[in-house]
This record gives sequence, structure tokens and C-alpha cells, in this order.
Amino acid sequence: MAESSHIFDAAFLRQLEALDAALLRLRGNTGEGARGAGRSHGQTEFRGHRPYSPGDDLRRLDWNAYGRLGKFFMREFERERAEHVTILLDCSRSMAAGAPPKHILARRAAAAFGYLALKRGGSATLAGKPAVEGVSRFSRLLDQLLQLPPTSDHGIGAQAAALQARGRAPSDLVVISDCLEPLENLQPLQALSEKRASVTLVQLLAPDELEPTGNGVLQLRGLEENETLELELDASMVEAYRRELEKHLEALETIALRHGWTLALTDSAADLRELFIGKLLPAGAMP
Amino acid sequence: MSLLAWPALLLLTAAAVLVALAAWSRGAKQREVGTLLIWRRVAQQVTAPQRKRREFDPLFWLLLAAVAVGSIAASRPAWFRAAPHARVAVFLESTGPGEPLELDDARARAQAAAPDAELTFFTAGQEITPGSLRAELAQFESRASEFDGRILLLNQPSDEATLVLPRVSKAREGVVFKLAGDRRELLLQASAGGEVRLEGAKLASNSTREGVTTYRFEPAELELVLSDSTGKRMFKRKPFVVGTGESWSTDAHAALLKALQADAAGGEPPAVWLGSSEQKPAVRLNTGAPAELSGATLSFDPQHPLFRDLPLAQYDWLAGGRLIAPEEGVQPLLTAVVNGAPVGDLARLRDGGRVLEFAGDPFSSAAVADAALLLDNAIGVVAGTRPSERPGYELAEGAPLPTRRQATAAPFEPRGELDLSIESAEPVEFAGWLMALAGLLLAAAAVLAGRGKMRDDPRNSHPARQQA
Repeated sequence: MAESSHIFDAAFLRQLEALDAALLRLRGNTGEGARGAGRSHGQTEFRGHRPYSPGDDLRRLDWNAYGRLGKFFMREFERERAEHVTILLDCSRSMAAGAPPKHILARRAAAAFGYLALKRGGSATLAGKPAVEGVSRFSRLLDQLLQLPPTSDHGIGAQAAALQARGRAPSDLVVISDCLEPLENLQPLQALSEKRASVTLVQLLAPDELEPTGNGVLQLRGLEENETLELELDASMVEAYRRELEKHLEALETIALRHGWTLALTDSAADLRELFIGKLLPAGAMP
Repeated sequence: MSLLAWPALLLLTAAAVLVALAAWSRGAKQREVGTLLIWRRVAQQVTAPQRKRREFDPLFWLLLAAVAVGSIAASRPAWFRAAPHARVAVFLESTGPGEPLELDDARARAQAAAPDAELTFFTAGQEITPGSLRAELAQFESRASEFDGRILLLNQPSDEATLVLPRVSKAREGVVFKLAGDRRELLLQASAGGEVRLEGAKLASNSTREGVTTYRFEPAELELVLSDSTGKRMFKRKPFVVGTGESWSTDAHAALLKALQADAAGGEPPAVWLGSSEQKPAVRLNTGAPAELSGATLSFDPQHPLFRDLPLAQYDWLAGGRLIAPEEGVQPLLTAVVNGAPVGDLARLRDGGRVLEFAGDPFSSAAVADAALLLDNAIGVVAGTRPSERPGYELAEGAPLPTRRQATAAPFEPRGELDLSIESAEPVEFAGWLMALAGLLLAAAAVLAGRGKMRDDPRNSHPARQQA
């Protein structure tokens, strides 16, 4: 838990605000910035009210309702309802690997996705957890993320299957995983996308998984399998690894293309800004 | 070459570290990975030959060879020709013919003076012809000219510029080095101290001066036994035996023999015994034939031993009227000449100088004293030594007497200096070649490592990394 406590520290929260501002600014520059600012651009349709929560955008405060009822209500629009994001976070043991461990950036990315959704009046649901609405409840989302065991046995396939079993597919599904598992395990995810779920797949790989280093005889212990494999690493072995990894990534990319997923590959040493602005924004995968 | 030189030690340590690192790297290192999914696929591709090939790491062996060769080079190895030993010539002055050469002592002293040197001994009587010390040293100097140093093991100090060591470890006392005299008085000299005895003679007096004691004895026996610190010796008196034959029969001859046998009356044997006509050496008379010698003159070499100290005017060589006809193979000593031409010999030598023939009888016509002188010379010619000069006693048993220098030898300290600085051959170093070889090995290792690095460069060959 000590590791978890500093995942979402004050610096991270400032980083989220800066990221939000940067995204707003970038979207404004591209003509999409009004999406979260209300209905002034006619892109959204009024859906109803919800109670005010501290931190909500005061520009969307319904003063008329306050005049009539003496309570603060926030106006909600249809477009924003559509930005309810479901986050499917890979909690398998392999996410504990890497330096820094992949699960740190995975949780931060999940928190960022949730924050941005809440900030824009949407909701964020961590798969298997109650939905969080209102940016004032963002801390709940953080709590949910922190309560997830850093390395549980819940891989993407199992979580997608559970999500699929509920019947209703989420509209926006964000999947954060290393995807280092047999691609057959992604069948439930493919099934979800066939139910018109928009899937954004963030693939996190540790630097050493992208480019193995060292040489000599290595006894590799797979966290996922809890087994060992002994081999002598040299240049030819590294080359073979590259080829195999490339094949795996290409197969994953093929699946993503086939199902219209947005796929972003990053290493666990990257920061949020690089991930969201450098990779997801150009891919049109931002909430 | 010394591997204790610090650069060599440093490189040796580096080699040890290299080997340790290699051994450590060959051991399996634990590493955690997220999943074995990819690695298992990779492992399936590794074939048995690849596994074998991986067991040989050329980079490691190149580095190890470079460091090892470098460490050897840093120790500055060189080919040395066999370290030349200093060659020292050692002169051993002999103490005396009867003395055993103290070789062990001499060798020990020489080795102490010239450690590690190759010693060569020169001994008078063997490598060096015996003679005076000066002559022996001259020979030694000549024969030892090629040596790196010279040591003289002498009985007395010398001013020679080479190292002088004593060969005698203690002063010698009571060593007789001289026995002279005649039948009436014997003079015996020995180094002072010690006990000297002469059996068969009566001590008359003795005196010591400058480390030498002089004894005077009156001989009483035909045989003398000398005892000193070096042992015993026997001395005997031996007369000459000269063949004469029947020609020695006149009164003059009797008087002459009596003069030569003066001691016979005292019961002692004569100095000269007369043998038969067949005895050699011989002095024969009246061997010539009668001849007319009026007007003849004499031709002879007055320096010949036959005429030594003779009053030639007292002899009438022609009085006998006899001449020996000239003959081949003989040596005429006294020739009669008429009108400038030799007509015959009055005295001659034959049989290799062992027989002296007179044509007449020069002894009977001369005074006894003159005849005795002539006979003394005549016997001296055929016997080698005149009876008048022959010692009364001669060594019969035992070692010859040592010289005075040998008998009075005393210990002394080493003198002079022994310079054994020899020019050694220049060692042939090949550290430079080894260093160049080490450099080549390092360069090869660097090339090998560089090629591996280029092959491993992810910027060129890994799209997944670029994508991430």
C-alpha cells in the first residue's frame, strides 16, 4: 500500500489538471473545445439536472433552479452522458513487472481517463465497481483504483467476460493492459466491441519488455505463470525476442483494426501527457 | 622478467577479475519478467548447435588473452644468454713436492674470495712448469690473461695486483730446507722452532737468526736419518764407480788414487771406486799408438770441463809419444797438430761422452796434485759431477727438501682486490612485441564488441520500441 499511496499524490493531481487544461486548449484549437463547455456549440442536448458537487463547472450551474428551489443544480447534456467511460484495468500479475512497474502508469492512466470523463460531466466506471459521477467524487474512483490489488489474477479476458455477462455493453470502454497473453483471451473483448462498444486499448509494456538487455545465462521467472525459464541471452536471442514481440504486436494490431479499436502502445516509463497528448489525442481516443 | 612488477600485477589482477566476472556471468542470473509468453517462443527457436556455439565466447577469450599477454609484457620478459660466471684463475704455490696440496682449503678460500665464480686452478708441476716464483707467476700471468680475475694462493705476500691469499694456514716450524757439507762437517738449516734431529751425526752447534736455525753436525755414520716436522728422510754417501782397467798400475796412479781415497784410511769407503775396463763411465789411459810428435802443437778448447782449473803448463801432453788415430763418431778434446794439420788425438770422448780416452798417461808425468785435479775433471766429464763437488751425503729415501721460502711460510692476510665486473650479454627484451600483440587482441575484441553493439542497437532494428 505504501507504493499505492504515492501513485495518486498531489503532484499527480496537478498533473491531471494540467492535462485537462492542455486538452481543452488543444481541442479549442482544433474546433472541438466546446464539447465540455456546455451546449453553446449546439453539439449536445439538455438531458436534465443533477445536484451540485464541489469542483463542478460553475458555468453549468442552473441559476434558475437555484432561484426557484434554493439549491444548486448542474445542467447535464446528452453528449456528456455519452462520455461515461468504463475502465477495464488489467490487474494480472504481469502488470507488476517492469521498472517502473506497469501497474503504476496503468492506474494513473485509468484515473486520468476517469478524471477527464468526470470533468466533462460524464461518469467513470471501474469494471466491477460502482460508477462514479461528478468530479467531486473523483476521489472515490481513486479509492477504487487503490483498492485493487496491484496484482490480482484478473486479466483482461476474465474482466471482459464478466462485463459481457452483464448483458449491456459499455459505450466507451478503455482497456489498459500489457496484452502479454494469448490473444485468444481477448475474445470477450472482441465480443463487447461487436456490441458497439467503443474500445480504446492502451497497451503498456515495460522498457525491458520492449528491449531486453543483458547477456549470459538468465533464469527468467514469469510473474504471470510463476514459472522459470532458463536461457542464455545474447544478441541472437534478443533478435529472436524482437521478432516474436513484433509478431505478437502485429497480431494485436490486426485485431484492433478489425474491430475498430484505438490502440496505443506505450512503455511504463512514459508520463500521462505523453500518453494522452502524444498518442491518444492524435488517435481521436480522448473522452 | 618479474610478474611482481606493479603493472604486471595490475594486469594479472585484471585477468583474475575478468575470469571471475566470466565465471559469474556464466552462472544463471535471476530476472523477473511479466510473462514468459514471448520468451518461450524464443526458447523454442534455439537449436542445439546455437547452444554449443554460445558456450564459446570469443570476446571473453580475446580479452583474457589480451590481458594475459599484456601482463607478461608488463613484466618485461627477456631472453638472457646463460649468465656468464666470472672466470677466475687461481695460482697454487706448491708447498713442496712431499706436501699434499691443500686443495680443499685452497678451493674454500678462493670460493670465499670470489663467490659464484668459475675457478680454474694452476699448480706448479702440472699446469705450470716449476721454477722460481717469478717464473711461475709469469707463466700464470700469461695463461690466465683471458680470465676475469686472478687469485694467488701464495706462501708469502706478493705485491702483485691480483688478490693474494695464503695457502698455508699456520706458520711452519722445524722444517729443514738445506743439508750441505762434506764428510767432515754438515750444515743443516731449518725454520725456527720445532724439533730437528739428525741421526748418524753429532750436533756441534746451532744458532737462530731471522727465523732460520742453522745446525752444524759432525757426521759419524755412512747413513744419516733426518727427522723434522715434515717427516723422515734418509741420506747416504755414494762413491763414484769409474772404469779404468789395468792401465792404472804405476806408483803415480797409486798416489793419485790415494789422494782421491784419502778417507779410506778412516774406514770410510773411497769417493771413487775403480772398476774394470768394461765399466762405464770410464777413464782409460794409453789407448794411442807410438808416434813421432816432435814439432807438434796442441789444439783444444780451454773452456772444456776437462781443462777447468788446470795449470795447463804443468802437463806435458806430448811426452808419452802416443796418438790416437782420428775416428768417426768420437769427440776429440785434445788434438796434435803438425804444420797446421791434425795428426791425431791426445784425448777424446766416445760412447756418448761416457768414456774418456787418453792416448798416453798424463797423470804419471804430472805432480800428484795436478794429476788429482785432472782426474777430478776427467771423472766430472764422464760422470757429470766432479768428485770434489759432489755432496758428501745424498737423499736416499724421503721427499726432497723444501725450499727456504716453503719452509719458512707464514700466514698472512689477503691483499689486493679482486675485480670480477664482467660484461654480461645484453638481454633481448620482447616486451614491445608482446604489448603489440596485446594491442591487436584488444583491437579485435573491440571490433567484436562493436559489431555486437551495432547488431544490438534498437534504434535500427526494433519497430516496437520506436512505436512505444
